Amino acid sequence: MTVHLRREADLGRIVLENPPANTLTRPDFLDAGELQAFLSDPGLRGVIVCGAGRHFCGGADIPALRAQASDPDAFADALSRGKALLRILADAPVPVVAEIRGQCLGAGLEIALRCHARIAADGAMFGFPESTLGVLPGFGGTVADGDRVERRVRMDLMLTGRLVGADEAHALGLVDRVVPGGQVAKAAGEHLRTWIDGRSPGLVHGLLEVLNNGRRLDRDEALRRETEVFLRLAREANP
Amino acid sequence: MSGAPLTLERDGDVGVLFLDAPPRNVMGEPFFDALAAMTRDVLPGLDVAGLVVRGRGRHFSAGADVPRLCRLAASRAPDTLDVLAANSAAFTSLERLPYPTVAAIDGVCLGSGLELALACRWRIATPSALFASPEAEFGLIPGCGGSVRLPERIGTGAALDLFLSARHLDAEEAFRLGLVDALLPRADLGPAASRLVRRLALQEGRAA
Repeated sequence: MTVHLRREADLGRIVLENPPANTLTRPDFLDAGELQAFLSDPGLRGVIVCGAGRHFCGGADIPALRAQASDPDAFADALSRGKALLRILADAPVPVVAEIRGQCLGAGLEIALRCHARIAADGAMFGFPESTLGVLPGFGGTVADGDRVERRVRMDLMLTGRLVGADEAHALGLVDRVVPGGQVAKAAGEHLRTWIDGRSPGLVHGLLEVLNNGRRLDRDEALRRETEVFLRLAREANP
Repeated sequence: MSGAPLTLERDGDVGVLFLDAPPRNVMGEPFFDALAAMTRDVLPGLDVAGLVVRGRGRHFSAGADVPRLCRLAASRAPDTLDVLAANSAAFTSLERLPYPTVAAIDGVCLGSGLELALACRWRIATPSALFASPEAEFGLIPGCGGSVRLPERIGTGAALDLFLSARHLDAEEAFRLGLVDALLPRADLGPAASRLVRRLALQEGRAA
C-alpha cells in the first residue's frame, strides 16, 4: 500500500493505492508526521480522500495482517499507530470529503467514516465484513464517536457483516450523496467547494477548531473556547 | 416592544418559558440578560415537573440581534469576552436544570434560537418549522454552545455542513438527522410538549 499526498491548488488529495482493491497491508499505512504536516499547511482549504483506480479501499489485506499478528506486541503498536492516523484525519483543520467508488469495506469504511462527508458512485459497496472472518474492526470502528444514527448503522453492519450498495448506504445515512460512477470526482470536489467558497480560511479553521474541541476536550472547556473563537472571528469580521 | 423578552407561565405542573418578542422573538441584549437572571434566580428552584421552552406567536426565534453582536465585538471593550461568556453560560445553566426541558418549535428556529433549542434536553417541532445556523454568513460561528451541542445530536460532518452552508433545514430533514425528536401538528404542539415533560418527569421519578 502506497498513500499519495497530493496538492491540487488549494485542495489536498489523499490517494490510497494498492491495486486492485487498495487493501491495507499494514495498520500504520502512512507516517503520522507526514499526514499531520500535509493537513496543517496554511494554504490548504480542503481535502479529498480517494482510492486509485476502481475502488476506494477493500479493507485490510488479511493474509498480510495475519503474518504481522504473529508478533503481537509489534502488531499492537502498529494498530495504535493506525488508530492515531485516523484520529489525525478526523481532527483535520479543514473539511475532508471521501470520494468513493467500488469497494469501501472494513478499514476502508472506517477511513471514510472519519471524513466529514461521503460522496459515492452508484456502484459503490459498503460493509464491515470482519465478523464473517471471525474478527472485529480494528481501527477504533467499534468505539469511534459519531451520532446516534451512525452508531446504530455501524453496529448493524459490524454484527451482520452484510454488504450494502450505495443507495441503501444513502438511505441508512452512511453516505451523503450518490452520483453516477463517472461523476463522483466532480461531485466530491463540488461538495467541498460549496462549503469553503465564500467562507474565509479563518472562519473555516475556527469552526473546525471548535468542532474538534467538542470531541476531544472537557465539555466546559470546549464551550469556553467556543466563546473565544467566536470573539476572534467577530473582530476579524468587524475591524 | 416594551414587555419582558422572556415570560414564565404555567400549564398546571409544567413551567412554560416564552420567548416573548413577537413576531420573530429576536434575542437582543435584554433577552440575554433576562435568560441569565431567569436561569440563575428563578428556574432552578421552580416547583415544576419540568419546563417547556417556546416562542410567542408563530415563530420560535430568528436568533440573536447580529448587528448588536457585531458592534459589541468591534467596540474592543475589555469586558466583551466576559459578556459573551455570560450569554453562553446562561444556555448551559438552562441545559443543567434539574428537571426535563423540552423546546417546542414552530416557525423559524435560527442561529441562537437553534442554540437555545439545543440547550433543552428534547426538541419537538411542527412540520412547518424551519432550522438554520446562518452565522457563517456574518463570518461567525455559533457563540452560545451550538458548535458543541449540534454535533452531539447529528454528528460532526452534518453539523459542519449546516454551519458552513448556512442552509435551511425543513422539519422533516431535521427529524431525519436527529436534531428534532418528534414532529407534531401545530394545534397539538403545546399540549404535546407538556405531556412529554410530564412523562419524562415520571420516568425520572419526579412526579409533581
